[in-house]
Amino acid sequence: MENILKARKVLRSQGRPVNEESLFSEEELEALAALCDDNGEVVAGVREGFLAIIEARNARLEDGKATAE
Amino acid sequence: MARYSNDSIEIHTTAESGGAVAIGGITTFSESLNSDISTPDTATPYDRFQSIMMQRPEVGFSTEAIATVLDNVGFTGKCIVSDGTHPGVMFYQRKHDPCGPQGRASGSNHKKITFAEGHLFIDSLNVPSGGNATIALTAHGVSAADPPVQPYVIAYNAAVPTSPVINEQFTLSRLIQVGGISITQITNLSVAWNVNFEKPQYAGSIWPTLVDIQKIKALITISTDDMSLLNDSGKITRLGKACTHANSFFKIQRREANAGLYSESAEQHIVGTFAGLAVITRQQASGGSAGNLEIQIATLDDGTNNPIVFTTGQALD
Repeated sequence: MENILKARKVLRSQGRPVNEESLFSEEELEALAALCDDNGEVVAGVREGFLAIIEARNARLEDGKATAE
Repeated sequence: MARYSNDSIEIHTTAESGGAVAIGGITTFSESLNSDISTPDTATPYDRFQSIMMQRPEVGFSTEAIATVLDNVGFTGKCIVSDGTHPGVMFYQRKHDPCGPQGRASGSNHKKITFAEGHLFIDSLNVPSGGNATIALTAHGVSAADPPVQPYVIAYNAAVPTSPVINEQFTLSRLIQVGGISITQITNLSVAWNVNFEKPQYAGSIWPTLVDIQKIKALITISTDDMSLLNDSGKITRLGKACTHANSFFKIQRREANAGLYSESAEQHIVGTFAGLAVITRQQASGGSAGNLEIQIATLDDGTNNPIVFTTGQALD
């Protein structure tokens, strides 16, 4: 649950709707959550971290290693 | 008889993997095909041939369910993408029937417009002091299919969603902070997204092929009757006041059913933080009435956060 709350915080900070959380895998949610500190605030470099997660996800989708909902 | 009134909007794109999001509390609704008619030049004063050269279908609406919208539509809008199980974005109007239950038709007799492809933008958020907050959106239909297909599909035999969100009403909370300056005598808050975009229409189609965002220059406007805020000493100076997410926010308070407002400690409210430059744009007074001052914040991407970050389900204290 903590990962989900932090992932939502990251999504909001990047102007994304929080319902997109459901599109991410457990590992991706964990990576998103890692972009928040212990207090649940986004850390410096959140923009770059978020883009890297999205790029990795997109690359996997293109490779057919993951299936879009 | 074929009379209809606004029922709900259903968002069910490929991003809604958990199911459709049905939004009620619709305050305004408008639809337009925006058809341009082509006519050849002739020597006579009247046209003798006509065809549709271009259509840019749009549906605009506003709703009081602002938390649901902010949770489901991002700052840059929502791509409307559909597949076999995700139909896109649907707009429902309920058919009147004076002899039906509660004066409305039952079953599958209602009007539904579907955009299977396109983009849904938030246009504006208006939060009056004492009144109800509304958020306005516009959906733009496109067709990227080969060959192109009509992006605007209308049906009059639809069933309306069973449980749209109709329990959300919000109003302005008592405190806004701009660059660390507290503002309490607020009369209105509004946010204009000011999305600048293109809808190119490529060869072989009368419909736009895509929605392409150029620029988003979101503008926050705050009205207050505290006319002491323009002050180079400790308030908003004549050259403005820099705002950061750490020192600038507005709060939107939710109304509670069968009560007044949810307590500030309840996690039911909306908080927006923002970065940008606040300037005082106008001060006016008429007759013997108290004057009014308007602050505008041109928002800014600080490299970390979106220019405005909305968080729903928040406590205010």
